[in-house]
This record gives sequence, C-alpha cells and structure tokens, in this order.
Amino acid sequence: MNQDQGAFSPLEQAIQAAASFVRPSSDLRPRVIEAAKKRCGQKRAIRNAASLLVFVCLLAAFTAPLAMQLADHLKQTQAASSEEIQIQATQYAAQAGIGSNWGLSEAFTRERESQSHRFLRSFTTAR
Amino acid sequence: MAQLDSFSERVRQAADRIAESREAALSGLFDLTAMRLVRYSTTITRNQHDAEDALQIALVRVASNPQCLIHAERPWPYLLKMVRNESLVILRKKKRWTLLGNLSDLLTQTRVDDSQNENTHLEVWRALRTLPTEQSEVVVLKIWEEMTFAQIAELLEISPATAASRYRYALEKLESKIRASASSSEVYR
Repeated sequence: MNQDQGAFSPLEQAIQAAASFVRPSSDLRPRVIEAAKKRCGQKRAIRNAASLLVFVCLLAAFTAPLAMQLADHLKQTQAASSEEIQIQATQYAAQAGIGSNWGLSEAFTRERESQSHRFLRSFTTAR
Repeated sequence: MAQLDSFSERVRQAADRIAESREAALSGLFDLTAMRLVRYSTTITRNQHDAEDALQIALVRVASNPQCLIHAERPWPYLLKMVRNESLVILRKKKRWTLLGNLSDLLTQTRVDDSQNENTHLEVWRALRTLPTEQSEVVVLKIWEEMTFAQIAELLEISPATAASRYRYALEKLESKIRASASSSEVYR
C-alpha cells in the first residue's frame, strides 16, 4: 500500500487511471461564467447604489444650511409687491399734497433705500 | 508536495487575474480546476449534477471575492474545501436517493488508446460510490490529488492517523468490491 512516499499498488494505479474518466458537462463553463457575471453585476449595482446614497446624504447635509440661509436672505431682500407700492404712493401723495405720479416716485425711492439696507444687513449677518 | 504547491501557485495566479480583470478571467480558473473539482465533488454528492452545482456556487463565490484565494496560505486545498462545503450543503438539502451502483449521471470520456480500460474505470467509479463519503474522499484526495495524509487531515479537519486508517479501510473495501465484480474478467493487474 502506498504511504506518503511509497509507490502505488496495482489497485491504486487502477484508481489513478480512472481519474480523468469523468469530465464536466459542456454547458458548465458558460453557466459558471454567466452566474459569476450576474453575481458580480448585482454586487456592483448594490455598491454603486450605496455610494450614490452616501453622496446624496452628504450633499444634503452640506447644502441644507446653505439653502436655509439663502431662503432667509431672499425673504429679507424681497421687493415690495406692486400693490404695496401703490398703497404707499397714495399715502405719500395724500400726506405731502403732491400728485400721484410724484407719490409713486417717492414710494419707489424709499423702497429702493429700504431694500439696500435690508440687503446690507442680511449680507453682514450671513458673514 | 512540490506538485501540490506548484498547482496551488497556479490557482493563486488565476485568482490574481480574476482580481485584476474581474469575472472575465474566471474561465482561466475554471479550465485549471473544473475537472478535478467535479470529480472530487462527485465522490461527495454521488451525483455529477449536484457536484457541478457545488462547483458553480464555489467559483461564483471566488469570482465575487478572489481575495479569499489570493490570501489563502494554500489556495488549492482552500478551493477544495470550499467545494467540499458546498457539496455537503447540497447533499444535506437534497437527501437524494441514489442507487449506489448507478453511474448514469456521470459524463465520461475515454481516450482512444485507453478504451480497453473503460470497464476498469467504470468499476472503480462504481466501487468508489459504494464507499462511505469520508472514506471515498480520502481516496480521491490521496490518489487523484496526490496529497499527503497530513494535508488531507488538515483539509478534512481530522488527524493524520484517522486519514490513514480511512484510506486503508477504503482500499480494502475497494479491492474486494472490484475483485468481486471483475471475477469473470481481469479488471486490474
């Protein structure tokens, strides 16, 4: 009998000769490669989705305070509506006894001044 | 031993190529190992279709994580162990009823110059299939994979003495089975 280093007996030789008697089926190779491609594709897709999710979370974390600040800034620097200007123009005209055109001009001038103050204030608070 | 190491090195190189070129390089590892893995797994599952399923699962696992082979101390025994584990899982799941002498699931090939030995090969495979799995896999690893009892013991997580005794019992059984089936004709000399 063969031990670790010994020569094979006739029985062991017969067994050894039968080693290559059985072969894998012809469709096994493409089947294995196809399954591996599918598995690796799924793994890559999961990895990509996870990366995208992390990116979106990071983007949201960084941009959310900025967006909130921008919204505040826009709110502060928002111009008066035409209706408000019209009301102010009528009030100025009535108070100063001037025509409605001059009242409108005065309303616009004051609105521009107020807007520039609000802008400066929001800019300095943002910094 | 040196042969096993050199084959292990070739398995490691194939795994390296998979790591570099992804699953496209799996065909190299398949061509290198499929025949040996299928015949080993067939002795465990006693069915070639199940053996091929086990091989597919193991190789797909290698394709998705080639590092397991690259970093293994001995990649070839490691791959054999992976296939063995998958074979045992399939065996437990299916609990297939097989006729021990039935070899209809086997896909065989015989070289033209070896055709006179076809019956001998069939008898060997039939006899191997009648052995308990723990004995037949020791025979396969010892004779077909040319492993030492120490290496077999490490792979199967048994002692070298147990591996050697399983081998001895297996050969005794095989001898009597083959002799009995070949009483009318000379199967091996």
